[in-house]
Order: sequence, then C-alpha cells, then structure tokens
Amino acid sequence: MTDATDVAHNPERPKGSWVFRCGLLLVGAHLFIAVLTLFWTPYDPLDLVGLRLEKPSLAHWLGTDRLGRDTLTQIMVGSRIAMIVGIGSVALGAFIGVTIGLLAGFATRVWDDVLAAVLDILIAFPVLLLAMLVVAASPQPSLWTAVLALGIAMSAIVARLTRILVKRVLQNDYITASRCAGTGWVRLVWLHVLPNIWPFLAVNFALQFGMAIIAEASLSYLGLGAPLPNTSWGRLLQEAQGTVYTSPLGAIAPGVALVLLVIGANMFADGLRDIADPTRRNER
Amino acid sequence: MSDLLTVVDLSIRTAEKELVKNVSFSLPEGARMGLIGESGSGKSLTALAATGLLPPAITASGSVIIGAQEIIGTPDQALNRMRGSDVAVVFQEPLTALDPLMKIGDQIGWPVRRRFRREGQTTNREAVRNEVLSLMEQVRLPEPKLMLNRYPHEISGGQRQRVAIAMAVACRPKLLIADEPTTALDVTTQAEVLKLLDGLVRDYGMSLLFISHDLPVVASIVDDVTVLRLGEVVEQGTTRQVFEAPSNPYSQGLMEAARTFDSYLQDI
Ligand SMILES: Nc1ncnc2c1ncn2[C@@H]1O[C@H](COP(=O)(O)OP(=O)(O)OP(=O)(O)O)[C@@H](O)[C@H]1O
Ligand SMILES: [Mg+2]
Repeated sequence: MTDATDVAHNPERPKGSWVFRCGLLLVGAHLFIAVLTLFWTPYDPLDLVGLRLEKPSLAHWLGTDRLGRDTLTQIMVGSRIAMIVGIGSVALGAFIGVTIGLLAGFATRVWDDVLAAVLDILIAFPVLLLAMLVVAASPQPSLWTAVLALGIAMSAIVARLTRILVKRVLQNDYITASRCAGTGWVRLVWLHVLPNIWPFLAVNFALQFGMAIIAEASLSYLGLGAPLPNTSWGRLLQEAQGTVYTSPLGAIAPGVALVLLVIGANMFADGLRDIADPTRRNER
Repeated sequence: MSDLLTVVDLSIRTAEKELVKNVSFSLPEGARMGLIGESGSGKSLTALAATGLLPPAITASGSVIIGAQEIIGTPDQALNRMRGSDVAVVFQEPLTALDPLMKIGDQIGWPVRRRFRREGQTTNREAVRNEVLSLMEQVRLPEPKLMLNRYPHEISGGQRQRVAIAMAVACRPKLLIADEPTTALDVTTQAEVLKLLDGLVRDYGMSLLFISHDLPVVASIVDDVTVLRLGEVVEQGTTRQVFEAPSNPYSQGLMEAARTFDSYLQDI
C-alpha cells in the first residue's frame, strides 16, 4: 500500500485532530439529545401546549408551530429520527454493499463484469429517486421504510467502492505472500482484506451518514417519510413552509439542526481518515 | 533421491506475449538450485507458477510437479492444502510482502498456527507465541518481545526481510523458494541474510530454489544453477561447471560482469 505509507510521511496533517473533535462534538451532541428524548422532552411533541405560532419565550425557547406544539421538543425528537435513519440505513447499506462488493471483488471475470454493470446502472440513479421507488413499493410507510429505502439505495455505492478496494488490495504482494503460506479465502478476507479496506469504507460510511440524513429530510419533506408521531426535520420544514414569513424560526431551526449534524458527520469523516489507519496513528 | 520439484516445458504468457518459454529443470529432495538471469528474464514468474499464484491475466502451460501434486491447471482449493506445507516463498520486496496493518507477531503467528493445526498440536496463544518468539530469535530479530507488537513500517528493511523469512520458515515447507531475498538490502545485511538462509535450510532439511541476478550471491549458497534469458533456459549445470566454463555467451557475459564486480570489490 504505497499510498498509505506516502501519506504517513506527509507532515501537513496536524489539522486532522481538531476537525475530528469538532465533528465528534456535533454528532455526539445530536446523539445525546436523541437518546435523551427517549426518557425526557420539554413537552409531549404532539400536545398543543401553547398558542399558535408563539414567539420564543422562556416556556418555549424556539416558539410554537401553527398548531401550538413546542418547536424545540419537535426538533429534539427530529434528532432521534435523524440518528435512527442515519445509523440504520448506513448499517444496512454497509451490510448489503460490503457483501456484494466482496463477492464481486473475488468473483471470476464474467460474474464480476455482470455485477459491475448492474452496480453502474444502479448508481446512475440518484439515491433519493431509488429511495422513493422503494417507499412507493412498500405497503405502509413507517420509520423503517425510510431506513430500508435509503439503506438499499446507498448499498450500490458501497458495493462498488468495496469491489474496487478489494481488487486493489488483492494485487498487493502481501496477499500473494499470505496465500502462498496457505491462507484460505475466508481467512484472507478476515485477516488482510477487511482491515486494509476498512479505513476507506469507514470514511465513506461517515459521509453517507450525512447523505442519508439529508435524503430522509427530503423524503419527509415530500411526504414520503416516517408518519406521525415521527417529527422528522424534513416534515417540520415542510409544515413551516406556509408560515415562513410570519414566523421564520419554525423553518430556520430544523434547517440549522440538520446542517449542524451533516457538517459534523463530514468533519468526523475527514478526521476518521487519519485515525482508522495505524500507519498514520503515530503522527500525533 | 526422488525429485521434489519437477518443471517440464513450462511456458507462461499473457494475451499478447510469451514471457517464459519451455523452461525445464528439476530439484531433488534436499538439493539447492539457483535460478539466475537478468532483470525481466522471468524468474519471479517461474516462482509464482510453481505455487499456482500467477496473476489472473497470465496463464501457464506445461507441467510443474511438487511432491506428487501437479500445480498447473489444479483448482486453487486443492493447491491451498500444499501451500505452506510443501512449498513457501520469500518474496523479492520485503516491504510490500508484509501486511501494513498487521503486527509482526501476528504475521508470523498465523503460519505457525496453521502448521500446528496441520501437525495436530495445540494452537493456544501461549504455544503460538513461544514458537513465534523462537522463530524471531532464529532469524536474529533484535528484541523479539518488542517486535511482536510493531507494524512493518516501524522496522528496517533488513528486519522486514527477516520477518518474511520467519513467515516462510514458520510453515516448515519441504521446498523454500527465495525470490531475490537480498536484492533490496545493503551489502552487509545481504551477507547476513544469506548466512541465515543457508543455516535455516540446513537445519530444517529444506530444499531451496534460490532466485537471483547476482552470481556471487548464488554461488555461495547453491549446488546447481539454471540460467534464464528472456524467458528461456540458456544453461544448466553444477555451480562449478557454469562458473568455470560457461558454455553460453550470455552466461559468459554474466560471469565476466560478476568477476569484474568482484575484483572491483576487492580493490576497494
Ligand atoms: N502481471 C504481469 N503482466 C504482464 N507482464 C508481466 C507481469 N508480471 C511480469 N511481467 C513481465 O514478465 C517478464 C518477467 O518478469 P519477472 O517478474 O519474472 O522478471 P524477473 O526475472 O523476476 O526480474 P527481476 O530480477 O527484475 O525481478 C517481464 O518482462 C515483465 O514485464
Ligand atoms: Mg523478480
């Protein structure tokens, strides 16, 4: 792996640590809030606890929506939805994608060509469009439909990345050396292939986590997301659309929450690049 | 003595080009042979063909028999059983032949574990660790206990080659193929590694196929040589014959170059 060692000797990388910490902080804060909402929220997200479209006050820090529900509460629950969809769909996409990618990476010429062609076609469709098709095909929308739809839609990208990474790793001398010492295929994947492609995959997963959250918000915005009581940020944005001139906070607040989490995920991805790779670990 | 490795009419080609043509030689059990030739003459490809590990785009024809097993055309699964136990290879580039993300102790540990299983010994951590430490001592790696937890990029080139040798020897193969194990090293380290290989091959009674383009290096360690040029055998015989009376102009050229180099070394 010449490129890994090359970067190992590249001195211009101290910035990695603060970017990573920022990302960790942003994602961690959302995760904390997401878990918190399981036990406590300021109000019940669906209760009409105030007047309609109240301005921010001590009782309602971010005001209320057009029905009189507490905006802060809804955004906090939105964090939970985002986390579930983000983590769930990335995990599903990773499972499907890495499996197919490994098979393609090891397959004979013909099967590999077939898989590669199918993946290229799937990747040509936008993730959101694929996800909408999956949602449309499912009988009843729920939170898990969104997870399933985005997971499946993203798996093609993971599969293609895995396939390329596997092919590249398999060309290395240490693979030949290990096989020549009698290592079987299963061990080869477990001991050499997965550890060596993992740093690249992990970065991709962190980026896809951000993508999935945007995609889920878009689905919800279009009315294809999780139904009530799941107050997804996308749904909040959509509901606040009609009152955006009189009470802009209702649209700004979920937007900011979304952007902070996605930026956090991207910074986390950037920092992860350095951490997942032990040839660079000594740098700091 | 029966032949451990028999190569008959081995040809290796890509879609466009024939890289190795009709190479034949045989290596009796316990013997040591040198495979020499200039860079690009097909030495490494011959070694890879002998273990059935040619890259997918390259095909081999002819016959390579190790023990009683025909290598060419045999499915990978079947070959996997003989790799390690019948044949192991030390590769040319010590850096790339080690997994950058695996600790030295584990790289040597896995072949050890596989041999223990093959021989029906226990494969508990303690036993494997002790064997790894003993192998590290045999290949003269300094501070074996610390080395266990190092990564390849944290040790020197000579040490990496010692690790690669330890990995190959850990398999206790009947045949050890060493593909220019000293080319990437400086002269002093080269001599040390050669001495080490020589001793290990003797101690464990392995046969040796030693690949090199460097004649003096080969002469010090093998009994017979096969000279390759552009993928073809141009000369075969005992080391002495080939050295003292090379019949082929190409070998004569190689000898000449080696002698000049030798006298140059003596002069300085
Ligand atoms: N994967 C490959 N695809 C196509 N051609 C190859 C491949 N590997 C090697 N060759 C060609 O085969 C020939 C022999 O290569 P080989 O690696 O066996 O040489 P060598 O004798 O080991 O040389 P060196 O002393 O430099 O290691 C070279 O001309 C090389 O270009
Ligand atoms: Mg070579």
